[in-house]
Amino acid sequence: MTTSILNSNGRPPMTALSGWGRYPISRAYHYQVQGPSEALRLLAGRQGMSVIARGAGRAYGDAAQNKDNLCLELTPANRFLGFDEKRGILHAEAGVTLEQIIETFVPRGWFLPVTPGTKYPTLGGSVACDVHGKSHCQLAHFVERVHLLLADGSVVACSPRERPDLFWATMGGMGLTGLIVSVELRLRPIESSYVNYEGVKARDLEHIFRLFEESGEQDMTVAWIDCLARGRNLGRSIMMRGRFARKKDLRLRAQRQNPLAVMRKPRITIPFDFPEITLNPLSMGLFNFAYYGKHPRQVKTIMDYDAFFYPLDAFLHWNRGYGRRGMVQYQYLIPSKHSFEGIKKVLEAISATGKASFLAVLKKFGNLQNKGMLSFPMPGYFIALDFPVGNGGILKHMEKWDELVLQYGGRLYLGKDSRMRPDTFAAMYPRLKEWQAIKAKVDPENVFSSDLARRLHLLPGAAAGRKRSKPRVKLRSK
Amino acid sequence: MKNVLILGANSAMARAMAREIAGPEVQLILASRNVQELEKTAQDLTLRKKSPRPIVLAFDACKLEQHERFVAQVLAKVKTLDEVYLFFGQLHPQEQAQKDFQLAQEMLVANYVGAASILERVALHMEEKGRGLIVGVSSVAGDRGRQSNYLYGSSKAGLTTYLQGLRNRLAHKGVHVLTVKPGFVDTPMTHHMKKGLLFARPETIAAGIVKAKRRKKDTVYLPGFWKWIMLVVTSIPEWIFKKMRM
Repeated sequence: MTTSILNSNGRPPMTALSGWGRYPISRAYHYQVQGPSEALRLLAGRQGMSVIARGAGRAYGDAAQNKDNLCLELTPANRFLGFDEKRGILHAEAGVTLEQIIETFVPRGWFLPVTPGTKYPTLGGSVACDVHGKSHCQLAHFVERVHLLLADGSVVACSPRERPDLFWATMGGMGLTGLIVSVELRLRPIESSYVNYEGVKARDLEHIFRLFEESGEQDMTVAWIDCLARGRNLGRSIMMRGRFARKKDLRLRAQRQNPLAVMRKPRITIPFDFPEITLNPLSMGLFNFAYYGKHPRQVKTIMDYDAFFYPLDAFLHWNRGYGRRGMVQYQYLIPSKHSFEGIKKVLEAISATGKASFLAVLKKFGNLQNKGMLSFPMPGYFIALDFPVGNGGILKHMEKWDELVLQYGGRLYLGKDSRMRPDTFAAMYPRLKEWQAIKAKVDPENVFSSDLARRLHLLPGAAAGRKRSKPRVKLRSK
Repeated sequence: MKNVLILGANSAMARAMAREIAGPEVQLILASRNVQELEKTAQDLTLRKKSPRPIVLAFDACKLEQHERFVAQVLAKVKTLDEVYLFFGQLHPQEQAQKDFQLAQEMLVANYVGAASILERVALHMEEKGRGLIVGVSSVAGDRGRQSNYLYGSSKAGLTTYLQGLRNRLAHKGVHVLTVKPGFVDTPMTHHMKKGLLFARPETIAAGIVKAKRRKKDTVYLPGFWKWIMLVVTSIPEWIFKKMRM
């Protein structure tokens, strides 16, 4: 059944959409999609418009937006399609959230192999961004297979062995190679849902780098950085290190009785946009000072997975804290060779602008070989910092930081980006041409496109997407 | 073990409902036109809720002649039916249905005739057993005919009145009938509508049904504020209402 997807009275429903950063905002035809057959129907009736899949809207920028075109939200397609108990391989539809995976599989002794700092994204979105986390690794490494709905309407499976080109173009491919229908993911076995946690204070950047180098590949590590510390104290931070606890590590009775507990904690909802003045250098400075000062030099404890991996999930809509105009996250990676110097130079540049970041975290990628053409991870260190957009002045500063990052051979992460320039992007991702060749093969008409794709000139050939029908009006007036 | 039949199990609301109901002690029977999709839902419920593998059956509300055989088929698999949920429904935009009566007929047959046809057969079984629960999903659209959707609305009005009568009849036999009237729900059925604050998620509706069931309600508006909206809509005098554009 190919019915028109537009309203018959000619006023189609358009929805204002944005990412987690709530900047920028654009309007698109937004549909909830339950599964591939519906997606296919919408694809057939798209009337020349381009299409992008949307998950939970947790990418920070414009990755899941498609101005004046179609945006298919796949959160209703959220079924588990199979689970191989022996090998821990879960087959799930793209709209399943990481939280749903945790709630169902933690009690059976399985956890996500790689997780970002929030459990609310969808599996499809996570694969499209090739997410990473505290475990030095990329998600793609654990993806056994993805099932893609291609522009021609066919559904194909791809894996590192079958259609490897398409597979690696899709890992971190921002949903532009096709619509991810379902994913087969290898979970990691755990004995308990608790983490042996160790927190260590670091005086400066050198100290924190040493702590990272000391940590083993098995440790999950992240450092919280006090961004307002300058000069001698630059990089003052707290290293947070953890490993999943064994059963024998657990001490408390409640933990021993139910070592694979699922955490369901009360959430605090940030009810409205905070005034933008809330997060100013002074208030953040005070917070950072208190947070760092309060922390003991070293602590060891047992923590549940929720507190360790997802501290911010306790606050629903925490992005509202940045005010009405939204926020931008600046996440840059500097490859191993110059990591220390590069991270330091850019941090210095950031602190010189006097812009405070409320949240700043430093993480490390281990010795990975990333075959994903547009995927972010490579061996080295990366920092993520949040800034309120405010009057947009911060965006100018960021372009300067971009140049520094490029000098050190670094790059920014597409899942967090909302403002990069196309030439900067092309310089940061040298395999773009390779990716475009595959895109041209599977989607010659650029059926799949997004605001991000157009902004960064990702698509081979002309910019895709229907221009609104201005020419027709002109014709009539003749 | 409780046996629960869900009709129209591929709808977004039904899927949410199945997740609410499913569990180790519940044998679900999922029925819909698209059996292939049902198999996926069945697999999901088995994994997610550790429920016994749901039974999957093909069912088409518009194929009235097959309904009797369908109920027999269900009762051959499970001896008794404890709960039956009717979720199927058809919605075509009013403007299209006005131009093409085929579409209007499809709605009327599926939403009213088909519903009555299958529930009459279910009622016979439950009446005989002397217990059971029937949950019928109607709509706020059935509360008053409006120019913008009276073809769909009248099919739901028929269903509402049907369920009312059925409740009256079965109340004497220990069988409860719950009428659910959802407002706008964000599902594929409402793809063509402009989404606003009034739209609820299917999960909200499913949770509301569970609550209404527990409280032994007869009719429930979901979300609850629709009760007040419809109170206003139905209390406008007809001579004014007919001049309005709703």
